[in-house]
Amino acid sequence: MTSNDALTLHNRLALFRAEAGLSRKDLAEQVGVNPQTIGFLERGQYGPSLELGLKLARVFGVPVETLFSLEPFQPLAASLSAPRMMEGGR
Amino acid sequence: MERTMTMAPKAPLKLSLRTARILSVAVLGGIGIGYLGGAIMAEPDGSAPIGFVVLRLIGLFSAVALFIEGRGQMSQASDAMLDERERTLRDKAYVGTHQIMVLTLFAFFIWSILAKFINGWMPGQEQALDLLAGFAISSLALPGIILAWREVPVADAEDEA
Repeated sequence: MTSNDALTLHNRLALFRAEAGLSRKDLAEQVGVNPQTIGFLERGQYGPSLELGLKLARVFGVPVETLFSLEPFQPLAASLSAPRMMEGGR
Repeated sequence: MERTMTMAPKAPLKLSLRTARILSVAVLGGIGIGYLGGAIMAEPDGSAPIGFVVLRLIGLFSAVALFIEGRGQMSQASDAMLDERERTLRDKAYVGTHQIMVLTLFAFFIWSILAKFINGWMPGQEQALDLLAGFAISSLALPGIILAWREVPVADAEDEA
């Protein structure tokens, strides 16, 4: 990860934050950044440093690659329907 | 859990992005035209025509406003007061300022060489001091100006809250 414009870095920060019921301000306080920076991260307008990526992952208790990826994440609906389709195909 | 919230610099003046950009145009226009134009079209006694003095004042006051405004304060803030994204923006603004200043100096050196061959305009001692003042004021205001033009307008309501 770089601190430059995050042109190829995808993230699921907004999803995890909503799931955890945290506001941007809450999350920002926990990782030591300004709330606006969380907004920039969620919109993919900023790529975090490795340190910030790890801190964010630690807040949600997940590996950093669950939050950030160089490849686009599969839509949630597709992720949920995939196991069902596999079960239906058996 | 990490509890090291950065302290955003508290600016005595907060301006909208649009106002900051308008002020930045006033700075560059006022300082650029006011000092350069005033030096080129100086009176025989060396003083600048009144119109250019007014432009200089507009540029100067706009520069002061930008300097104490949020973006100007961000450009002067220490590392401890900014988070990593803001530090990156601030550092890029200083790199941009340095590049513009070096290009301006380079252009002036090229002109000073060319002017000898084509008998072009060169500043006298008083005009040189004026130009130096304009150059210094611009270099102080430029990081804030660059931050204002690179700032991405807030795209969602949660950021504004």
